[in-house]
Amino acid sequence: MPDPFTDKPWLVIGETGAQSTYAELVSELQSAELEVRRIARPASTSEGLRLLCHALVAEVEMTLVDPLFHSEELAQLGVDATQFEIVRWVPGRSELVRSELMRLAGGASRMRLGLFTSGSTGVPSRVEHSLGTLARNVRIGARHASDIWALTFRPTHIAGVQVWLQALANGNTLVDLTGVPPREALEAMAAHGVTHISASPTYYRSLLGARVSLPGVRSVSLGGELVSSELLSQLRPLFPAARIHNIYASTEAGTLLESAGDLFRIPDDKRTVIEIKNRRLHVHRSLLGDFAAAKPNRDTVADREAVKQSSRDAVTNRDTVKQSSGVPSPAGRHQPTVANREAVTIRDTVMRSDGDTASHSHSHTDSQIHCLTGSSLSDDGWYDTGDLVDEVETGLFRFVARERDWANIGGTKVNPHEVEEAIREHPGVKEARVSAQRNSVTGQLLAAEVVLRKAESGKLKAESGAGEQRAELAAARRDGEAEANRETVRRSDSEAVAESETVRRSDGDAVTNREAVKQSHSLTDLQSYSLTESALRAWLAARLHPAKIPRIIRFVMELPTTYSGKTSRK
Amino acid sequence: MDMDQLTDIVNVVRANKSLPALPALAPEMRLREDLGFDSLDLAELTARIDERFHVDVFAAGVVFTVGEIAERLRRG
Repeated sequence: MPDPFTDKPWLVIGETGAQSTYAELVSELQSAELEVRRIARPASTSEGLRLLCHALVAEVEMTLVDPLFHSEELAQLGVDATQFEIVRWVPGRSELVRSELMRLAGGASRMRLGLFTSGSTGVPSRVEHSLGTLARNVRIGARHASDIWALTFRPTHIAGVQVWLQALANGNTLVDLTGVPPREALEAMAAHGVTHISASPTYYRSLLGARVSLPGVRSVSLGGELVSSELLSQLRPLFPAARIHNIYASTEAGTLLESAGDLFRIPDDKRTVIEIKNRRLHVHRSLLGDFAAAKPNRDTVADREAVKQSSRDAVTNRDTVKQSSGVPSPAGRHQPTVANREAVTIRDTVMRSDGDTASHSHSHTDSQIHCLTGSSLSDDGWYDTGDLVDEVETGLFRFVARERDWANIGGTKVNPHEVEEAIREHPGVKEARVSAQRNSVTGQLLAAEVVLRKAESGKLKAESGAGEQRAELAAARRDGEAEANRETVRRSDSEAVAESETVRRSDGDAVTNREAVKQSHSLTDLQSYSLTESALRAWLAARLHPAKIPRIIRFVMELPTTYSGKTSRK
Repeated sequence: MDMDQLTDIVNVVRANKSLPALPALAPEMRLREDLGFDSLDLAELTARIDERFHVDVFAAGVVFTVGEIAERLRRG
């Protein structure tokens, strides 16, 4: 009897309608060789899904990195971008059938997956999950056999991975809508008979007002951001027959709680592992993926700081890369030295997702992936999510703020401190404060107030006949050391601004700015740096994920401070 | 409401995406398809319009065209 799933689409590319079937997928996974990577940065959703399927069947460990992470951010995370090119080939499973593939996706595979999360500690970290943990909330059964899932999250996002597993475990069709504009996405949902959607509140807001109705959608899941009751009611005309699921999940723990509205209840069977303390939601370590212990020993702290410092050295200087041993290496390549390799040997207690603990050493000499400590894990094994709640009655609550200081920009968590640090690295900046403004479109929008630095010293050297002035400027480093920068500023007569200028990025791409900025600096005032909003944004674009770049930048004379001298956050 | 001011604001957002400035806006221009804006761009546009005109044009719901923005600004 022929398999009814032979021609069933496994993946539909929403933008083009191109399809691949389950038969084609199984055939690929049965082939002589499976492509596996220890770490990958998939350029597209379909590539990410393909790598996930290969890793699932090969039952190997893989880390996925979002393609929007800039190379300098990756360096700071301890990720060596050259690792992305390393491919291993392992034998395929010639005996694989669709039902076995579904069983693997349902939790049977020994695959382990690493993802990067901004976490709640202020330092981006890698979290690793077993497939069993990731598949913990997958619902399998005959009533799910005909589900058709819209995929709106990338496979580098925990929510994207969970949709992939839910669909594959039930032999469902996935419709890839990542990057598809709202109107086209709604058309694709209708055309391909989507029944289930998982997306962020910002994504759903972008669909509102379309004056269409999709009665075929049976399930709408929201997650990743705070959900208002207003949005939930606004979705009803669009999806009149859908059951609404407000999901509380994190990269660290996966899906934890679910609600039909904005009130959540801790289920009775989870009251020993999820609790509210001091108005903040805490989760027991037994629900978490693998990441380094919250109580690292001193060696771990020292090792991590050494690695961070060597990473900072690597990204501070564009022309040469200084090793922690002080030996320069060819431009643009960070060559691990003996000192670096020692720095990345970490002895940690790793919390396994099945609740056991095991002590062992990680020696990452062939990789710069680090499990950075989540310092929100207490001595008795409780993880502070950092999410503030209002408890209506015992165990029943609504979220007040998804993060304490943080911004949630359309579903991407942004640590303002990290952005402030990046802004302060600009030699023309003295101080910066980054905050989230309330915004009707994305929930929040990142804004920065920036105080410019006065030139510590400067001298002009007029070059006869050239009409140019060269200025040597000393810019103070963040840690107080002075570093000489040699800059060339092109000036015409008394004007310092041209209509357009090209700023060359460190990765070789050219960005066109409206104001004249040469090498990210412009000097019109000898007393202080004159830096434009667009120039600072272009400078940050070479260093940060797009969602972390403040959309609003205001230059101010000073920032208010508290009585102890710290910059006020109010 | 001065249409030139709205044009300036739109062009600031476009410049930050390295898109060329538009000499003028037409009411039927669609924010996403014609101006090239995604959600973050619309968020920035909203914030800048609010800063200039003290009106949150997205507060009452999604707007799709320049004309709808102008209408929201006229109503205040």
